[in-house]
Amino acid sequence: MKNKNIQKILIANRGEIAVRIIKTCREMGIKTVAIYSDVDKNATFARYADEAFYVGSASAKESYLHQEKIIEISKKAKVDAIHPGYGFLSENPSFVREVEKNHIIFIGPGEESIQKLGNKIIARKIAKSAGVPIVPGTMEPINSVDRAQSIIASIGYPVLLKAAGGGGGKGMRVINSDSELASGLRTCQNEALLAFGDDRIFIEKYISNPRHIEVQILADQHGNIVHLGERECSIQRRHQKIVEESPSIAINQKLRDDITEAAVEVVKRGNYTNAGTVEFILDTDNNFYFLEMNTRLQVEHPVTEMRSGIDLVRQQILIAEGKELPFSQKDISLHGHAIEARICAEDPLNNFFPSTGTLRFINSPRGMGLREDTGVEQGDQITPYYDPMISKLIAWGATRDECLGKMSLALKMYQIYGVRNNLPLCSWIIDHPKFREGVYHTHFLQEYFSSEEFNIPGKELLKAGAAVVGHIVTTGSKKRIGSRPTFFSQWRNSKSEYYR
Amino acid sequence: MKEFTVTVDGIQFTIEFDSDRKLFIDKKPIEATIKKIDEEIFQLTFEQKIYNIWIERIDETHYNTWIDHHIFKINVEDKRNGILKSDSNISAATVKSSVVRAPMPGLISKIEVNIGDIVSPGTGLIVLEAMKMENEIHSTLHGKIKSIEIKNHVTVEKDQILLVIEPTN
Repeated sequence: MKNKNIQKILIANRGEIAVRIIKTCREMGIKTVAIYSDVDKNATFARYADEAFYVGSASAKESYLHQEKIIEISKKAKVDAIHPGYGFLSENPSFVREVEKNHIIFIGPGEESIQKLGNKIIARKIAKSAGVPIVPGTMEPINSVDRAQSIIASIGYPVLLKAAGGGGGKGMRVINSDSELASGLRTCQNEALLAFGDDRIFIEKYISNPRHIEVQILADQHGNIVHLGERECSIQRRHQKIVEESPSIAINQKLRDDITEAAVEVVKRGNYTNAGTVEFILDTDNNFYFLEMNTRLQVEHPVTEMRSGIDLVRQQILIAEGKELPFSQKDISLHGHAIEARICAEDPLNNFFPSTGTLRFINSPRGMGLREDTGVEQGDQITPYYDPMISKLIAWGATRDECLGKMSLALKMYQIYGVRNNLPLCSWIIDHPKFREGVYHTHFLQEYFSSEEFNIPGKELLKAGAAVVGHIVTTGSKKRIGSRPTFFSQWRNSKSEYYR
Repeated sequence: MKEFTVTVDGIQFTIEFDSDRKLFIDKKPIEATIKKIDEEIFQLTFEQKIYNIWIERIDETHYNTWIDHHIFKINVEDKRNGILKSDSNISAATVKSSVVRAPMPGLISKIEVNIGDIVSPGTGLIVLEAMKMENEIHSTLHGKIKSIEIKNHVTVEKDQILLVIEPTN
């Protein structure tokens, strides 16, 4: 068992999460090393670190995904450990192997855990063996209509056909009846072969209007496991979360106990260590099913930090050093209500496709119970190379009402100009009566959101806008703004860098 | 006195500034001061309210306005000269758009058409991967694919020509 004091950490990531990790390291007196690509030369996170090394060109493959270069820099900078953040190399078992081969600590689970729990099929088997409910369906791929029919006879329509190689919502198809099955299966296999080079298809019960509930876990190398409660992340667009809250308003204490216990079981069976998240879906009859495990720190981890008072990055480092968790389950107490909104460079005028440009003006909200995790400052550029997330706004309140009140106001006060962004959408969600009631599911936006209706300004605002435009026209600012694309229509997740 | 008609969300206002730059909206005097904070960013004191406003200039007559979380399009017409730049500009742009360019740098992940294919508005042409997203670029007109200027799985720069469509009626 490794037991080593970590004195210097390389952060194999960028943006807000790199800033987030560097902050905790500096609090702990640990030296930090950032890596940056061409376009991140002046980025906040690179300036925040004690040392910053150039890693490669803007393309992630040449920089934040380039294993050899990152390990080479780690050796040159003499770091004890690498923190991968989320996305990029955080769930890549071969990277973990290479890091450890070079006698550097990987701050995260072991290679084997990532291989097992990161694989949807193996993870499903582990969950099943732990007695945790999984969505009814096949454990093996199917290849004939007959086989599909015999399975459907026991689970019933509607079913979901899922490509084994798929992800991020791709290669999926809902089948409602026998008449759709044969052609649906054929199309799904063809699509899967084209998209992923793998035509293996799984079949499972389609859960309509599910809620997404996940459990935060911390596990040390001595067999101690605690959970830090659940987060509900049902508000999604294109299968990516936008708003996350804790506790979930959908479950009672009994169900919460069952779900968190199930999560701990999965982690125990998988011999998992470090921070991780076990994801479940909840159907409309309050049955929960294991979905998958994220073997890393998550984007939405601040929601849990706000309620538990536990710094998850600090715990990750301590676990990686081989230390025992400083608390047991009975010491964990979760307070109040927390919520996070992901502020992204997405264009509300054009079906929320990603937007680039200069952040000319940022007016961040501040106040009691508010936290913002960000990696950008006024004047920074949003480039097309990486994730469009600008920042994460997190609010905490003693009750859900108080928390939503703070978040609602914070979003209204928050101004980001120069890059089109989803602040109007986040604001609309938080103030939506159904969201306020807590009656929502993963198809909330498909069901309620219409771009024509959500953004109706009052007449006073129209006059105000008209006055300023009149001013510009009469005083003549001739600078031409680059033409904006108008022919976008559909954005989907790309397979290569999808994460939650 | 300069007078404009401003159309916002289908509602028309006349905007005038007199020689002292006093503002009139629909002939009524309005207490307002406008201060430029940065390129495109203005602070407006409008009667008893203060707003920060982002104005994106599309061209001489078309603007996008962000006030807090409200976004709307504004069109400007000069009262005396009629429309500053008529809509003929827009139709000219449409004809030009037979050249399809990359809206941002990215990776071509799929070419969905071949030379000679007949396309209509909405036909998927090319899938461009950028910012973790896949984006399908659609045809905006009826026509025939005249040439394809890129190959699959190559990276493209912003405004690089992707393909050319020969418009039909």
